Amino acid sequence: MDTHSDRDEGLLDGQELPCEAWLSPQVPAGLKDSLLYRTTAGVRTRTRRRRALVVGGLVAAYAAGLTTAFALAGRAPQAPQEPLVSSVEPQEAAPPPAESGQDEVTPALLGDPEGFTLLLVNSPVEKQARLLKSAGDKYLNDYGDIQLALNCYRRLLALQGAANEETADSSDTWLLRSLKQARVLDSQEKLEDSNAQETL
Amino acid sequence: MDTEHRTREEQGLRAAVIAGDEAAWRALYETYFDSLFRYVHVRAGRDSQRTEEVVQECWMTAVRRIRSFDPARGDFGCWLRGIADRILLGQTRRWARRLRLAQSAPDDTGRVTPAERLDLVDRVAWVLTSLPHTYEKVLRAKYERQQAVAEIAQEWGRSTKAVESLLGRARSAFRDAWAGLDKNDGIIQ
Repeated sequence: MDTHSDRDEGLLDGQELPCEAWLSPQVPAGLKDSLLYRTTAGVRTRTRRRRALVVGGLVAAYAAGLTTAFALAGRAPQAPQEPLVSSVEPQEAAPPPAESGQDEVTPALLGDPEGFTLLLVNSPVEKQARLLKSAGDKYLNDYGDIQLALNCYRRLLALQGAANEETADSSDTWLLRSLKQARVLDSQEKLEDSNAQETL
Repeated sequence: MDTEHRTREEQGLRAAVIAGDEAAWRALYETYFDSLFRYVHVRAGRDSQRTEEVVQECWMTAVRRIRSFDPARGDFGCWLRGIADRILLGQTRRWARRLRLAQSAPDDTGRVTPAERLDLVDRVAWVLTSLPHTYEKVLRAKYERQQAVAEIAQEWGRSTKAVESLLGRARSAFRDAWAGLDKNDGIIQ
């Protein structure tokens, strides 16, 4: 029902507004549709970026979980505390590649942490990397000591830096490969996070 | 649509757009496109090219920065107008600089835009487009399309009393904005 006041009340007191005052401007043909298309594409891009972040996070979490699981797996007998007799050879050791320098890491050296550290400190960076890798391999393959192997590999990766994390090496043990993969995924996730932050 | 209802609805739409829902974005776009175009058109001096540039930049900015839209602080149209104002200001400064360079006459008034006295039609358009979206909508229904309150209420699915109340608030807002222009003697700074 239209009230009396509603019928009579103008928008402005004592002033009649011209009809053209209400005219809306003409929207150029195609502008509305093309702009809708472009902005909708922006919404889709946002979705894809979010999904990529989620997938990257899941992969990183999976890799971290794998690493943790391996690290906490049932421990084999501890590495010998006293130096082993040098004539005793491991029963099923894999043949060492000539370049790895495994002959430098003897059981005697593994049983002498101070001696090993001294050797590392007095060696050039390349030799340190070789020593750490071969020590990690021996702890893992010969003694089944994952924790000590992890210590060596972590020191190796810290020594080599990010560049070598992406380099696949066929002589890498499964544990070293997993560590490298986990670090690469971690870096990618951080990069995606910072890119998403900048964009948004 | 009362404020609380509008806020809740736009909160839902905002969350859906952030999650990548294209239909939610389309809903916002269709609701506010025309009113934003009118708003920019008046403030861009009815220049079609400028209007088109600003409108495009405004919507592209809105989709990139949708996270910064807070429905509790105002409706989506109000937020869009804020974006449009900043773009217009930046554009106007550039155009004014070009004009000064072209005319080789320094502008010593200290104003960002050249002063212009609005005619009646422009004033109505200016004031109308500065109002919240629902106010503009109800005023157009009442005074442009000459619809009765009952008719508007039926079309919008609201009670007559609600529409009358909204119309009263819209008139009041229009008159306040009009009076504000009068104080500046029709000059927009």
